[in-house]
Amino acid sequence: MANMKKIIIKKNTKRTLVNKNLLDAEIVVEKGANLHLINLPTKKTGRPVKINFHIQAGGVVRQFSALLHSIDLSVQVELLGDCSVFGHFMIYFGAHKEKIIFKSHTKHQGAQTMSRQFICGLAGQKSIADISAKIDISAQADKTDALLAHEGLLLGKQARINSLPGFSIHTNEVRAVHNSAIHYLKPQDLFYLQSRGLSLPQAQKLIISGFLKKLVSYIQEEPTRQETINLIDHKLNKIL
Amino acid sequence: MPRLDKHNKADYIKKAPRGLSENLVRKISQEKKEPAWILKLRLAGLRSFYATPLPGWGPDLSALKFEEIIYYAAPDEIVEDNRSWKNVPKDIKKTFEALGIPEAEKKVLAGVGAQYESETVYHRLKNKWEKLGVIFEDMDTAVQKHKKLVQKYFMKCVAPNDHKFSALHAAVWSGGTFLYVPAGVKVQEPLQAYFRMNAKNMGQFEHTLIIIEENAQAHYIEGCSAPKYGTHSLHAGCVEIFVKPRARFRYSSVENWSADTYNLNTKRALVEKDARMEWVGGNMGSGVTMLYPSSILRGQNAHAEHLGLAYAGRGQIQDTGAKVFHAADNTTANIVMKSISKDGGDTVYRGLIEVASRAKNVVTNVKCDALILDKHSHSHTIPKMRVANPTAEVIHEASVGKVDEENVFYLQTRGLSAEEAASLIVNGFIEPIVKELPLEYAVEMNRLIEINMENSVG
Repeated sequence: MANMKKIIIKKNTKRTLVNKNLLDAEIVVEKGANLHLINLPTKKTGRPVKINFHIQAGGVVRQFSALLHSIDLSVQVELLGDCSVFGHFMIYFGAHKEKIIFKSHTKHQGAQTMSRQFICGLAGQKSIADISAKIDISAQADKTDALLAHEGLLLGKQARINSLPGFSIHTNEVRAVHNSAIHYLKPQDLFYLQSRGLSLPQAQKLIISGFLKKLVSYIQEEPTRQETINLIDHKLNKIL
Repeated sequence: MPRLDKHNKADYIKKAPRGLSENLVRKISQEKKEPAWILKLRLAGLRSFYATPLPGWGPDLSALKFEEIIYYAAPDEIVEDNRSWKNVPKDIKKTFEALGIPEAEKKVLAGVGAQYESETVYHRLKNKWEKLGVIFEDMDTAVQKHKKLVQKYFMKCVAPNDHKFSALHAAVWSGGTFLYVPAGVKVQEPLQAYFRMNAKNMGQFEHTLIIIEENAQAHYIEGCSAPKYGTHSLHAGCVEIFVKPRARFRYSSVENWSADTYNLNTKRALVEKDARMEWVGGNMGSGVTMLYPSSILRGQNAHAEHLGLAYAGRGQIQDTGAKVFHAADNTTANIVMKSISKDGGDTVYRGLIEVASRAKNVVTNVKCDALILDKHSHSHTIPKMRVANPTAEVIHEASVGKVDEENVFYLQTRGLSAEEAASLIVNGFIEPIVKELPLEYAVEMNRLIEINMENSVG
């Protein structure tokens, strides 16, 4: 994909974009337009990356991000028009010393807007994941429906996950939920698989693979979905 | 306890200086005949206060005029022997009678403390607990009578230079409660203290120091109120709690300051091995509250429970939450916070869960729910989690919404009015917190919710 600066998704059109170089972007999604954006950086970025969305009435954005290297990604979303929708499905995977910083700020400004953000990832060895996601719902954003869920697995003794979800809500006609869970591979789950004949590394790989890949199904494009699965497997094979 | 907007005459205020100065701090220390170490701490607090800026986060405190606050004022009639209600001046006694304190003391309490402006007017512990070695004194008396004990613990949990308002507190603290429960003693009835501000522009800076020795148990309740004047009052108290191994302590508080009070309180507990600390709090009053009770779990298997309720009406900002620091293995915590905002009120849940890298097998659950009752009100949640150990399980969930119209309709079909239905639903929402409060506070809280729910439906 060429340098992304300002991209306009025209009214009532549908596009799929794959962002492998993770470039800064200002994306306008016009009325009734539909965008599927896949952020799949293949190496660490040496600088902070910003992706901003301005979604007009009836516009839909479905974003998938796989952060498998050190990265500093900031996503700002403005749901400007009524009935606009933003979905973000993100996985992160720090296996060694990666530093993964993710900040998102979603502003619901139109009525009956919806956002769904699912983040799951793991931090192993000495990696650090800093995940912060804020949702603002303005006084005009009646009947907003917002959901944010973050699940993190800690694998290394020196690994760290910092999570900061947040809401700022200025109307009562709203349904807003967020949850965040940071935990670890349960010994009883590993034991169960080992009792079925798997070795410990095989059991770990199976659980982690299932944990990360559950969001990969949200990638609609088959080649990119497979590529993502391959990248995850490749990284898992290196550590287990 | 009913919110009291009536105030007594306060001629003593005419003599009380406004604003903060080293002279004032020295005068407070001199009048109380304090040992040198306390004066040293006060002066260090004053220097730290001047050197520390206002916090760069949270509610806007720029309207708080420090130079207009009265930091120390004692009622005209000083109570020399504060162990009898007979010695308490009539109008002050009437205030506490209206709050139900003397009656509660007779019926259900192990001991009571009552503070009016900057001084304690009444403090008494039932004989049977005194005989077992329980100490329940006002703080000023404790400084004189139990020098070594107080010096060992005073401002060791909350340091004077912790933040700007702990520094202010260190400089001008007066009154408060000292509670010491010896090892193995389990105080069955609750102990209560009530803090009342009366005069305009008053500041109250009581210090509560609680030490629960090994395998001991107690329950302490604090209530507070102030009349409304339309000019600012300031409350910057401090609560320090030391819960020793295998001890169990519950701290309950219902804060009902008037809407022109800035409530900038600091509350913290150090919890040792196999010990349990419970915080139960209701924040109904004050114009601006910044309050984050904290538990430092530094012994293995220590547990903290934080249950809190915040109500923000017109012109109120309730910025409250809970902080838990897991510094040892197998520590656990459970946090349940409920908030209600109405008529433009603003509630903020601000929390922190921190798991140290050396703390293995930590389990923490946080649940914060908010009800916004109308279009003009606001709710914010800022729950931070920092986890540095791979055996920890930290779970947080939050939901925000309004009273469901379908539920209101259902209750109306059963004969309730819309307001009664909404009130019932809101009472159900806060029930997990209210049921843990002492009965008279629970009843009062339900009553306040009912009053505040008027005209909230439609």
